Amino acid sequence: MGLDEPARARGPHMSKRKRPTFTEFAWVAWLLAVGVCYAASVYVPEVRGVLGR
Amino acid sequence: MTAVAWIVFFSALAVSMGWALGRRLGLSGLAPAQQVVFAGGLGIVAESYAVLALGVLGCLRPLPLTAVLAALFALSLWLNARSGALAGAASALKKAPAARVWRDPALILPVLLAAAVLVFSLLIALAPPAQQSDALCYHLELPKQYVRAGRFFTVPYSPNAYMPFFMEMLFTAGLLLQGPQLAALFQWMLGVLTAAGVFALARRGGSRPAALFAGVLFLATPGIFNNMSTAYVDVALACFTFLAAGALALAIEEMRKGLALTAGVFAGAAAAIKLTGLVAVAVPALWGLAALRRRGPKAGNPAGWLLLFLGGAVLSGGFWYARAAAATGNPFYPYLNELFGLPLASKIRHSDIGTPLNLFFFVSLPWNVVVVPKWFDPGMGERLSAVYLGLLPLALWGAKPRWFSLAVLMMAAHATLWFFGNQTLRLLFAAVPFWACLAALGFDRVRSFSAPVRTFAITWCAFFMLFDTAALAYRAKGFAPVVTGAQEERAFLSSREPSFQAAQWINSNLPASAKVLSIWERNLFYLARPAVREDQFRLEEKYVQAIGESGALAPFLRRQGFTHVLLRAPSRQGVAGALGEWFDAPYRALWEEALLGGKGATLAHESPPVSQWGEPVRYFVFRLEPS
Repeated sequence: MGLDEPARARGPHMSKRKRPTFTEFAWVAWLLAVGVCYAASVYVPEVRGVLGR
Repeated sequence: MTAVAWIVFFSALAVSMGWALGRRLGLSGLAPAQQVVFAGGLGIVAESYAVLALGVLGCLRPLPLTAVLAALFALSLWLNARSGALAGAASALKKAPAARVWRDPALILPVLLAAAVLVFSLLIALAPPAQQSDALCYHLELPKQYVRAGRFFTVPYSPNAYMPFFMEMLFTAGLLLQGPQLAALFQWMLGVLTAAGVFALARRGGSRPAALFAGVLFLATPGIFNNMSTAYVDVALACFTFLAAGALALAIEEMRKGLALTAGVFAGAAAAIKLTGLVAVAVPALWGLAALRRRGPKAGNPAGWLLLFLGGAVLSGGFWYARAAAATGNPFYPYLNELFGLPLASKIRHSDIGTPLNLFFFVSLPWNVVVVPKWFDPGMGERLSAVYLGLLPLALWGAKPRWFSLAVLMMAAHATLWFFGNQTLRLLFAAVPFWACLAALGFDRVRSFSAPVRTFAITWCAFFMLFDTAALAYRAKGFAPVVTGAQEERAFLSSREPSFQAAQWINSNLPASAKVLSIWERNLFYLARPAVREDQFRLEEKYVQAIGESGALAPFLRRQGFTHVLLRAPSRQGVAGALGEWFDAPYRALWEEALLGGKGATLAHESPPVSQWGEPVRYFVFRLEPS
């Protein structure tokens, strides 16, 4: 099995659904929490950390 | 540019040699991406051992090394041409999917992002190394001594002398053929190989976009791209750890016994890079036995598989452990000395790094390493992307590929060792490629989500990856002048690396016969005179016993061949403060008498204060008077 494997192994196809499920909403809340905390941790000394010295 | 040309050559040589070797080691018939990655890994193992062999034979000079590398390249090309692999590669290149990238907007962003990360990290790698303590202390310092001596030998009075030096052999080749920049590029090359490996192996059970996303995510991780541009070994360890686990999982899934040997070679290489690389031997071996049991009798005798895997590991990593055991009695020297009844090695610990050792902090580890990196970063820009944490919950439910349990086991093993050992973030990088594969599973899960959530999630991931890459671009700006030649290397290093200033004074003012004993300063790479670290010299010689507490220190040091003492005073307190902090009694009394009381030593140089880690430091050079 390699780059030309059958479609079955190519993972799920793009969903056509428009309405999010509860699980999807919960996960979006998790993303927002991670995003806000990650961004909040990038205050000035942390930027130096990201940039290296 | 010479460094870039050399690393292109080393990459081509690695793939060519690995391809020739891999035909006999179970690589034939794998997917092209997997074949190229595994061949590259095998070839790099061969390169490291070629340098070691030359070193042991005492032929570490540019000409013999170039000749051996050229001969190996010619031989591997000939073998590949004979087997038809060269013709196959040429026709595969013609059909390569590269041209499709520009027609598919979903591919353009990840490919551009990866290219940006590679260009900016390359730029930083091409600057001379500054403020990279471990590189200047031993990853490059010991190879410098091998190059000077023209051979591989046991460097006296070095706590690192018996460590496994797989990467340091490549760094030796780098110093021999170009300089410290080429040495750093070996790590950069292995970072690219790891990303390619993540792509090739996340394809098993994942979609191509998800695998591509995971490969790019690995590259666009701040800790990874910052480490890739230094002559450290953490990305290299991540590479071989990941290749070992990936190759073994593939070997068992496809019942390829030869590939189990290849996996063992990668595991041995990981163990030959750093002692924590032993995880890559132990955990996949145990997982493999369990997987073979589940397969039942059709998988053959598990002992045969285990023998192949461990045999490969001994082949590529055994030398370094046997050497340490033969010389010191401890194969893990200088670690675990207490188990072998040896004196404890001196080490400087980052005491302010890490979290308390309790269950709460252990369970919250994935959150903490992403969101509170300042707890784990001694100042090397060690940080993981928010994307790892964002996608983690999605990877944990739904259908999972067979390699999932191995990836989780590898991450758990590394996390446990790291949590109870030294919580410096880069020491956890070996778990990052596995985490990237979990992110690929999460990414595929997102593809099945409703359109608005999918759009939000992909935008969220892209935002954080672009943010981290922008930070890299901003950082690279400071390195551009010295790489393009607009700034002199000397001026660049003088403003960034305190030990460079001390080294410059010593190199231009002390005679070639001088030998330096260094107190506090461990970064001796820029010194062109032989130098020994006082802490290790004291540990091995316990010289207060030889001298006696009321004896004279300076004549003793002269008899040992030292002519000068270099002292780094890490505070505003000057020599007295530095001696007080560095030495316990009775050593302190001996040194105070010599350096402050002027008994046998005179001050030859006092540097102006320079800044290191925001602290002013000052260097003093004392001349030891002949008795």
